[in-house]
Amino acid sequence: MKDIVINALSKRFGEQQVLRDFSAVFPAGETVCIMGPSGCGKTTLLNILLGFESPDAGTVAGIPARISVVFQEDRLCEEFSALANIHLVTGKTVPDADILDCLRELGLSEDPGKVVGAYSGGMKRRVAIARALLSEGELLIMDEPFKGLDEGTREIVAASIRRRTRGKTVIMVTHDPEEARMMQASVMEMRKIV
Amino acid sequence: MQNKAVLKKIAAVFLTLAVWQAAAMILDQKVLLASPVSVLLRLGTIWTEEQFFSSIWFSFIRIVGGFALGLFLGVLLAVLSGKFQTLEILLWPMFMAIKSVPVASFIVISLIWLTSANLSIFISFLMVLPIVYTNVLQGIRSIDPKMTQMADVFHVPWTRRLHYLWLPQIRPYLLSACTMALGLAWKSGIAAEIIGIPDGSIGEMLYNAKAYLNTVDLFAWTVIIVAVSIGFEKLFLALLRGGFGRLLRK
Repeated sequence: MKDIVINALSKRFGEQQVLRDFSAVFPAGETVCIMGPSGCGKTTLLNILLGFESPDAGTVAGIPARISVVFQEDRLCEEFSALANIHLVTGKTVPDADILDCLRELGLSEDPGKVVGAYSGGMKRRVAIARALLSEGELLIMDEPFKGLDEGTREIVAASIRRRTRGKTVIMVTHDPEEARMMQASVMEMRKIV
Repeated sequence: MQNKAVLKKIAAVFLTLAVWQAAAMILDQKVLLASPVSVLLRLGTIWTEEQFFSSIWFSFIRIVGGFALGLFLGVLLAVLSGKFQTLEILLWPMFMAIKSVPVASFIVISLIWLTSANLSIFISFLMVLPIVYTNVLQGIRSIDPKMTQMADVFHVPWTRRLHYLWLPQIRPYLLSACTMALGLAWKSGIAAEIIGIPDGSIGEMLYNAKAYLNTVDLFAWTVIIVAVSIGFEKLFLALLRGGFGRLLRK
């Protein structure tokens, strides 16, 4: 596992310069929370790391072949159960018992056969987190993973993520310093380009 | 509420039959307009005739065969076009031609290449193909690109994408395509048989009834075609819904 090294990254959308000469290092095996005001380029940075966007200039090195993601939206198949949603990405490599363990750990003791379309927003969020945790990527990227979770649940979920990602590189975007504390992560501040 | 709507529909059917019966009685010319009562009486005896079941089987197997072929190829081409846009562009003129050219022209042109016995297979196939292709392709296009992005990031293989992402999205489009295509397959298939007149087909029965001015038989065979077509449509759609339900129940 290598450090993820970002060097002089720039990205512009039309007239708006979102990133300018942005450089950073995400040390291998560590958890880093990216914080900053809306529009400062946090999600753009994640999209570049995921390969969804190409930078106008600069380089990114050290991205592993397998990445797990908790997207800003849940991106779940609403017609299927939590189990099926996780099997979609893991296949048969992860047994049902392990998936159910993970879901229980995240505080989801709902009927695993129930379709996620019938779940509340917070429950769907936890299924999306379980999917990322069980998909065994070498790098975990999370864009506001605690969105829609109450205080108590956030603590439970953060503890589970910490336990299951020990030794992995985790990059997480959040607005809330409390979430960074819960994740026991180092914080990287991004500023809006004016 | 639903019972009331059904009762209203039944009442409308009886009213139509009554108007038809009254018109036939006023006209009093069996050759011009057979009455519903005479058609009903004919239906009671027509099934005892030697060629009745074999004619239905002859047409059924060919029209359903053409439909199945159109369904299979339509889905396959739509999936491939969904993946490779060049194929969609290459296929566009062919599908535009099939949609625009009158079915009668296709029937006559096809008679040059095919025997009349196989004509209804080809014509049903030709009518079903663009409907299935267009609808399924629309279903594939409606898949949320963010879900595709998610599948890409997690390296989800195409078999699982098909099961979890594509099938639920395509289902309503395919069901709607099949409902439209089944009716059209029967209409065009029988039209092809009336023009090609293959021996022992429903089309031949209809043609003979018209040639001998046997209007009661003409109406009776029409009722049989509608009944077989609707019966198969209901059965097929129920099987398709059941199949989807079983595949997606997880």
